[in-house]
Amino acid sequence: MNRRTWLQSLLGTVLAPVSLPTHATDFEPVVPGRAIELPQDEGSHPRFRTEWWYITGWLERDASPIGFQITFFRTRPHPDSGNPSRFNPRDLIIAHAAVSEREHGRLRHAQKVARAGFGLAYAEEKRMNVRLDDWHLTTGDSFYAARIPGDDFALDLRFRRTQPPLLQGENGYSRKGPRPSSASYYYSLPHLAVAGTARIGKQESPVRGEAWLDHEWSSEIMEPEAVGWDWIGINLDDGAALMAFRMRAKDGSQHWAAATYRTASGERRTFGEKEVSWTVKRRWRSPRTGADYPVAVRIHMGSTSFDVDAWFDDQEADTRLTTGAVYWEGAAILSRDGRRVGRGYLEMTGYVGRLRM
Amino acid sequence: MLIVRKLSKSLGSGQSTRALFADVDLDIAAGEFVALIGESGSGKSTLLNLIAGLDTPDSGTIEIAGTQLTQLDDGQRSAFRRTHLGFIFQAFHLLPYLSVADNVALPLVLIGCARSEREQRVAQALRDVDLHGMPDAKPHQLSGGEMQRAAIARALIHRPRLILADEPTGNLDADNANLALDLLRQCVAREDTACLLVTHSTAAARRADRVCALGSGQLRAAQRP
Amino acid sequence: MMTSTFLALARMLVHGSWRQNRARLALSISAIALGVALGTTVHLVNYSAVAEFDSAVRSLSGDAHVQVSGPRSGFDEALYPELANRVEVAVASPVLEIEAKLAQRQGNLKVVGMDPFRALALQPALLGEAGEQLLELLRPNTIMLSHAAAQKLALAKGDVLRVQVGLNVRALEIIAILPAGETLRQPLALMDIAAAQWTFDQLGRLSRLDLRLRPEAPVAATLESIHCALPAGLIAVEAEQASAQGLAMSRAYRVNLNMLALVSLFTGAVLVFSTQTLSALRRRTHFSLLRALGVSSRMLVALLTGEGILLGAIGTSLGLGLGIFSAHLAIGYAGSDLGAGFFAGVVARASIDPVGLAIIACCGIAASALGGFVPALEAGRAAPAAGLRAGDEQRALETLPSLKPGLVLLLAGGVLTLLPAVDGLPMFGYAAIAAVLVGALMLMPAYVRAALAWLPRFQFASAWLGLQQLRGSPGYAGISLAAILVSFSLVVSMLIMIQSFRLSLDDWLAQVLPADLYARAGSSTSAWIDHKAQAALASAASVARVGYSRFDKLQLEPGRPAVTLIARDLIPDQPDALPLVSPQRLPADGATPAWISEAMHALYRLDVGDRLVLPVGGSRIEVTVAGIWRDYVRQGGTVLIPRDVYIRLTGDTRANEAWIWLRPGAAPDAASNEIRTALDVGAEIEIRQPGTLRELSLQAFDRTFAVTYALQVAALIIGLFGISVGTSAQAFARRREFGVLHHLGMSMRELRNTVALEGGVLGALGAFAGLAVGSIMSLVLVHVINRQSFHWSMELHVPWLPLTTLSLLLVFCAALTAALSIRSALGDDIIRAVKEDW
Repeated sequence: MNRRTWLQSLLGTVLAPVSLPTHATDFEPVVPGRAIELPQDEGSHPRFRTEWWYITGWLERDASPIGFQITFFRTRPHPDSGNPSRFNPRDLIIAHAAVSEREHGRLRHAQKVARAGFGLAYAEEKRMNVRLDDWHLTTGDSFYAARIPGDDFALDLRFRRTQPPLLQGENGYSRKGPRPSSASYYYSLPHLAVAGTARIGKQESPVRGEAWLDHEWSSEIMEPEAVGWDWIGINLDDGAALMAFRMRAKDGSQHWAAATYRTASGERRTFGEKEVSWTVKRRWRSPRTGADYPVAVRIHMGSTSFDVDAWFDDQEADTRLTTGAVYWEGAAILSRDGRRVGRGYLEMTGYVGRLRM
Repeated sequence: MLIVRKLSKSLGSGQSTRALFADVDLDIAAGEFVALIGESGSGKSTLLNLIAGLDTPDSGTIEIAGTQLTQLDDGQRSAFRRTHLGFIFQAFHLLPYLSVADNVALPLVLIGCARSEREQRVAQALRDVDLHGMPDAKPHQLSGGEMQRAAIARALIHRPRLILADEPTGNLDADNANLALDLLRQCVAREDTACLLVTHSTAAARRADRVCALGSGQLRAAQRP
Repeated sequence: MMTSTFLALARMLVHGSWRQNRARLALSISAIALGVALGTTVHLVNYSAVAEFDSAVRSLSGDAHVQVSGPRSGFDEALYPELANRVEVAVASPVLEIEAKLAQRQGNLKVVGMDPFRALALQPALLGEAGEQLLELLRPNTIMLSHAAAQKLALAKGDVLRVQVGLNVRALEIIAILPAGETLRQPLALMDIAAAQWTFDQLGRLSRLDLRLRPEAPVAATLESIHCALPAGLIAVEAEQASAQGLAMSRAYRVNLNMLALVSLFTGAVLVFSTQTLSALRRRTHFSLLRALGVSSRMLVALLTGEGILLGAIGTSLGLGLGIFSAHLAIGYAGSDLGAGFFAGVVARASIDPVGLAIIACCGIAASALGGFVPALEAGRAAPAAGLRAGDEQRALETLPSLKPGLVLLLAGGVLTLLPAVDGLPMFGYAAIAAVLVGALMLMPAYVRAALAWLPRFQFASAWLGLQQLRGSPGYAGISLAAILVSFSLVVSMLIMIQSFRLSLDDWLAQVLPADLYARAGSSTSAWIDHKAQAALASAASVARVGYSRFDKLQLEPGRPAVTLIARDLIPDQPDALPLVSPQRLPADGATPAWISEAMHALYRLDVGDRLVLPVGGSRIEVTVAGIWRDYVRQGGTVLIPRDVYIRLTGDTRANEAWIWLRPGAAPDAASNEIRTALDVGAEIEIRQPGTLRELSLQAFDRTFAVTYALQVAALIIGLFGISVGTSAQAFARRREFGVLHHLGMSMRELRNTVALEGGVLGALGAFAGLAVGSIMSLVLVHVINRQSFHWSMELHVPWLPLTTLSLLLVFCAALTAALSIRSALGDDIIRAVKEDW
């Protein structure tokens, strides 16, 4: 219980860096116009405060499908002190993984944290290669690989790109609020083809499916007015990809929002703050935390609108005993005009108090 | 030798005071053997204790060999007892851890008699009571008669002026009782000692020169039974 | 039917006797209570210390399976990823532990530098609510204090803690006070390991690695394979044994204390035994009557044993309560090591050990039951007719038991001293002491008889009578003496042992302190004299010569306490200040010489000329034993090597201690000031003169033994109780006798004098026997128990004056006790007692 407490608070910090006093010069700011160059930018950017690699997706197996989520964070808790110790906690590596299985009715999840160093935990520059003890996300010759040997579940997956990267915002400069400084560099890799094995409990099975990778780095993401965000990343059945998010203010209103839609043929369209809005269709109240999650929403983007429905309600990462954040992070189904058009992941944060330390 | 005048003693205190006897007079001359009889509870033992200086009277005087006992403190009375009085008890009361000889020697030790003289006198005393064969025996090895003879030797060894004997034959059979009384009489006669014998036994009282009876708070001369 | 008869009898006899003799009853009960209380107190204090130490170790390593540790100076951190990457290892938590010297105040504080992410995986409750400050802890110069440390140092969150590193002062910001939870009760501080390495100039060093293994990994096999792969000087032990290893150092001390407690319990038991015996003897006639009336001897035994059990149970429960109470007091007042300094820094709470207390309780009750059983057996066996006769108890008191068992026990004691230690503990030594004591107890009546026969026959009435009484009942005297013999011989032996130790220590101190001044950066691992300060010291005008010492602790064998390594500047041909107990023989082949302490000689079976491999600075160096010396400071063993060899191996030029010889004519005080100025430091360096050091050492010694003095006093009181019980038990029985004597012309005062004299003679006999038996026991203590527990030798010194004074005091107290205890028996009714038949 206690371990979850501090880990969760730490995750909270990562996602809410503005709560710490920083000086502009301590970390590199996110500015528009910087070109994102792949594959070098797949690696770590230690001059920025926070960075994450985030893979979600649906996997088919002999039994019913499962959803999964693997996240590696790199965060710099403080400006570098210059401590010559090899233990100097310049960067922390945090990892979070979860599996959604509808029959199980709630998440299985696992978390880990360590300081970067001694080759036990690191985020390599120029190349996506993040390791935390035996948890590993790395780049091979023509694929990415993730190995998560958790206690409740284990994932050993390979990801192959089938589409070009999708730069979010203005060519990868993704604003998170009215201030230009609160922004991140952000690209996604939708429609990754997945193959590998998944063990749930003691049951190991070969799996195949489709995933979505987000890589985002920044020094300042959430503005003080915001309390959390809602986000989706959906692989549409026709090969299109949809990302949408909104930052929420304390009163529940929309503080900022944006969306990107790319068709299978590669036509990309971004929607600005004014063009995106979310309507809540149904809420689910968590029996553990009492948080009220909008598990069914309609997202309006310009003239079109999509319905997003949680695959099942309870995909909350339960950390109710904590002082930190509680997430809802789960598999979701996208439909338009009542017809399913895609599958992906829905993330909702900040429903149990503002994300904080 | 012993002059008791107007001796009174009550038991208890305050409201529940009970007069045991009052204005008792008693004279015993040297060499005289007096028996004191009376029913149980008549105050015989108390009178004996008063005479021995073990108890203090309410009023009256006790004079032994010219010494006013009532004017002495405990230490002086004790010193007086060890030089002037001899005791014989019904239960003999030899000290269990002392040999017969040491028991007999005890009064001499108390008066600080030199060892050589002591040993000599103890030997003589044991011969007198016919115990010279067992000086090293412990009391529990003796018969009742032997114990009482040792006790008589002890009572006489320091040549007291007055012997107080409290039922000395009470624990003895007739033969042994006679033997003990004979011994006592002989010794008293030899040493010219006075002797006050408290007894229930008519046989014993009969051997006395004179008999006094304590009853109803009064001491009267009584007929020899 | 039987039961009700038995109960009725019990009510009549036991209860009746109790009512008649309340004082004796109270004394019996308080004797057993006192014995049990003493045992309980010492046991609980020890137990709490161990429990606390154990939990202190555990609270930091949590549910680790394996602990890897090395020399006090630490080891290379490269081992961390190596072990963390092993497949069997689930979590590896690196720890840098520093005994930090506090700046601008006295004392040290244990600072634990750890990686919170790893440590929390082993011990989730480590930080408690302070977990919110976790990220703050990652900054340099921040520190968290345990609640106990904050209280001890009177510091709060936001304050600054100053520590000394080398000869410099560093300031650390206290960012949180850890909650006063179950896990971290000790005064200590937590830092991030990176900050700790930086702050304390320990970059690259670790002092410990806690490992949790994967569930499927076999612990023993993994431990073995890890241990084999470790660099020189490092050991891997199971986490459960880690605290045992830490406790090993104090084990002998604790066992010694426990033995003392047992002796006091034994003294109490002997006392109860003698009280019960006397009381049974006194009631012999009653028992014979009962036997004559048809009570079986078995029933009689049951009756008296039951009485013993009942008294024992009452006394024991009182004693347990008293013991628990005084353990709390003792821990609160003197700390869990009772001032000995073994658990410095460990804050103990009295913890209750049900098993130990149950054993103590059983001992107390058993002793009391035995005290009823043995005389009951004897009374049951006696022919009822004989017992009925007045004065029959005299027969029992008069008879002398056979000398054989006592002599055999004494002999056995002698043989036991020749046997070696068991598992590092002098078990046979203690057995020897027990044998000597019990043997002596059995010989007491014979001794009393012989001693009294030898005494002249006094002419003075009281004296004559008193002596005759004792002569006549050696059994009684023997029984009364039992408790005083046990307690006084214990006291004598302790006094001789302590005196021997103290004077030997004093001589030793004179030998090991040859210099004019001693400069020390402190006893912590965070303070040292660096080469800059060394240069400044050498150039001070009044300084003629300086010699440096560097200390480290090496792990030579798992399960053994660490061995102290001293690297000292010395001339191998004539090493000064080494109190050698062996001839000095330098290796002819030019090998590195090493001088080992007696403890090393005993623990590692090393002798002059033997070779020894020392892990120094991560490599192994072979040294040859050139001499064995006496070290009264470090029980775990000490090995001394030339400092130039140490520097060559480690490159470590820091020094912990400097020995300073002054130029002729330089005044030590002025020189101290000059040195401080030259080094530009204040309180960061301690400069002391040999006289002061000697004084401080002796003070520390006295503090260590303070608790034994308290135990001795308690034991003596129990012993005096014995005499008091003996006399007052007799007093009632002897009332008639006193009455007769009063009739025969002894005044009350003379009677009191007689009894006082009896008591005094008993006391004198006890003192004399105690001196003799105690001297024998002290030989065992000095030459067997001390040697086997602490491995150091000492010369025997007898504290004549204290022993004489104490003996006289004992005689006086015994006489007084007897006179006082007889007082109530000497009332008016002794006149009436003469009339009583029994």
